[in-house]
Amino acid sequence: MAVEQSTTRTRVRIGDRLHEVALERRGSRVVAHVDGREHRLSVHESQRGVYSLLPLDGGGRSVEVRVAAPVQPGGDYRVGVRSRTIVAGIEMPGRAQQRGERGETGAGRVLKAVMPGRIVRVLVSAGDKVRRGQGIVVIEAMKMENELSAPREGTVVRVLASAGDRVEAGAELAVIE
Amino acid sequence: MAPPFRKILIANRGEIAVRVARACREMGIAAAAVFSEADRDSLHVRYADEAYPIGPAAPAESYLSIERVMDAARRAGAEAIHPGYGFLSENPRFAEACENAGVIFIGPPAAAMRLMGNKVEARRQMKAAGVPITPGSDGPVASAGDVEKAASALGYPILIKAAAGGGGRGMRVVRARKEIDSALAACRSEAGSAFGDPSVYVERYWDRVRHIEVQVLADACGHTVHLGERECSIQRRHQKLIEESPSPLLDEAARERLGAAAVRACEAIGYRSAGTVEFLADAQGGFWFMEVNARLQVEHPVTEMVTGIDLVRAQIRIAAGEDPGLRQEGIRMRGAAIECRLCSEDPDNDFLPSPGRIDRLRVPGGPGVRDDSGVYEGYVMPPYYDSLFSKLIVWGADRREAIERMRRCLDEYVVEGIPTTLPFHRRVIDDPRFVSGDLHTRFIEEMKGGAPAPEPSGPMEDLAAIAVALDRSAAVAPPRPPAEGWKHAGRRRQLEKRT
Repeated sequence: MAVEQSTTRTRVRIGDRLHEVALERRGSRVVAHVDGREHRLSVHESQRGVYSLLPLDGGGRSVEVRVAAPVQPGGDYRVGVRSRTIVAGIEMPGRAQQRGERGETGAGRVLKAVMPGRIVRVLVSAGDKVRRGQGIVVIEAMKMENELSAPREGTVVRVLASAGDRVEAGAELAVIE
Repeated sequence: MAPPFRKILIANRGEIAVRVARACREMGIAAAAVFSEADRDSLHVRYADEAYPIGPAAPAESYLSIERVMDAARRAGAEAIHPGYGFLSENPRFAEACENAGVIFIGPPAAAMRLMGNKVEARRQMKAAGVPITPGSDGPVASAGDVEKAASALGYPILIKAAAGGGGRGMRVVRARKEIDSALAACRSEAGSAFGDPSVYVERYWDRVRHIEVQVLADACGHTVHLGERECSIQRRHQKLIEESPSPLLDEAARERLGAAAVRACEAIGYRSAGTVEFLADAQGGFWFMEVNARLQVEHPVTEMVTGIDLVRAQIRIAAGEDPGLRQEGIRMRGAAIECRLCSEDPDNDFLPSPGRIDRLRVPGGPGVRDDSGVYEGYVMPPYYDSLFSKLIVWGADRREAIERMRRCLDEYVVEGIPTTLPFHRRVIDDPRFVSGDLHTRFIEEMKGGAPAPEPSGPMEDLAAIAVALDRSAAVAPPRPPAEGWKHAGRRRQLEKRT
């Protein structure tokens, strides 16, 4: 049986750090270079998205890394190591430049419903200046009223929901710039 | 010995429905579940022996509908109904509806429930029974003037509470005279809409107080016993998050006094089945009656772990008129147990409820570990009900071992796809004040200013980056043969041989 071999280069963003990851795979042996730092590992994907890593540095360590791939392309990976979750993303060439020009992640413009529910109250109008954390709408879900707030300071450009509306998760509620 | 009932209808959902169904299974009793349209995929439906649809997702049209639940019980031919907690469990009209239909309600008599449901009446009864009660107004208060009068006698801060409320809802803290008018109005309006009764009363309030409750079991043969206390001071917005038994505050003498008071309270009101008497306690061992919860509680497992007594099985036997053999001399508390309530809420975002799909679930195991789960991997949490989806309970030979075990279990627990209160529980279990037993109802507020989680170490971050790169390269590569590939290949070969 032929041993699977491959060589790949991926740019992985964690926090505000960008890592260049070069992988050489020969079956379950991986030689990885992360920003030039070498790691030699035995890797088995024991369950879907669950990797058992045994670094071959003589230390005998065993590290389990669980990878939850993003639901939508371009979204975040959530990486679990023991009880900690590390949020990571894949940097496509060219995209970093785009982000740099805009000066922000682009995630803050549209406020979306995080859960399905019913809009109880809209707390702002178009033209209002809002602070980071200021309440924008109140949604009733899971037997409680929840206030969704502005992720950053800005001005409300458009309000897209009204009291009484039933919304799905991901529904756009307001645009704040 | 024949089972006490042939079939029990479980008028609830989620983890408690699974819990009750387990007791039924052990006793050879058929478990009949009910489910709303949003719960067709729930674990409790698959776990039960029978399952009856009872209406749309909204609780008012399903789990809270006496008519629909009774109809399901009729269709199932159930001899008894277990109401779980919440929903109809403390609704005296439901208990009466069961009686009228010739179905046994597994819980207290409707009269006792009704009495305890009115907090003003409950206080009167307790006072008459010689149980110390929280200083407060003798009866309901009708006006801001009444509240002011009560407040000057009691001292601030005070609590305005709904007489028909409970479970930490329908209450407002008042710290100064000028707050009375708006607090009174808000409380009355909430009480009216949430409990159908706008009457409110006043109690003295303490910011940093302990919430200790006693588990009681009363059978139909005249035996009322207590199974020790639970410490429930770790709360948020008056909702409990972590509970333990025994309380690190009480010594044997205090335990006996508290237990005796709880038994006296239940005997005074003709209580039957499982119930909990809640007290407020201070650091000096003083305690005051707060309310009786005339139902099985969420946190009952910690009592089961330290006493070895299965409360649901006891409830079922009591409801069937049997003597489950409970005598105070025979009840012992051994070791210590802690429970963490796992909720689909984001602790970093003011505990915002977050329904969604549980992509990965790995529950801890090992000695002294109990998982009371209502979910499974791949389950989509519906947004219509409570965010509590699982309870993690551990037992240790002493409190220190229980804490170490809980820390290990919280570390081992994996839930991916929805935010959960797991990170919050991990912070609490590591907090030196928790470890030293310095617990009170402001614990969570005073914990908020903790340091943010440290950044991952260099080597760990490298490994995380490598794993992401591995996962991505597998995703873009030509599809690997599936893990079950060899099975398919094997089957194919067989087919080929035959032809």
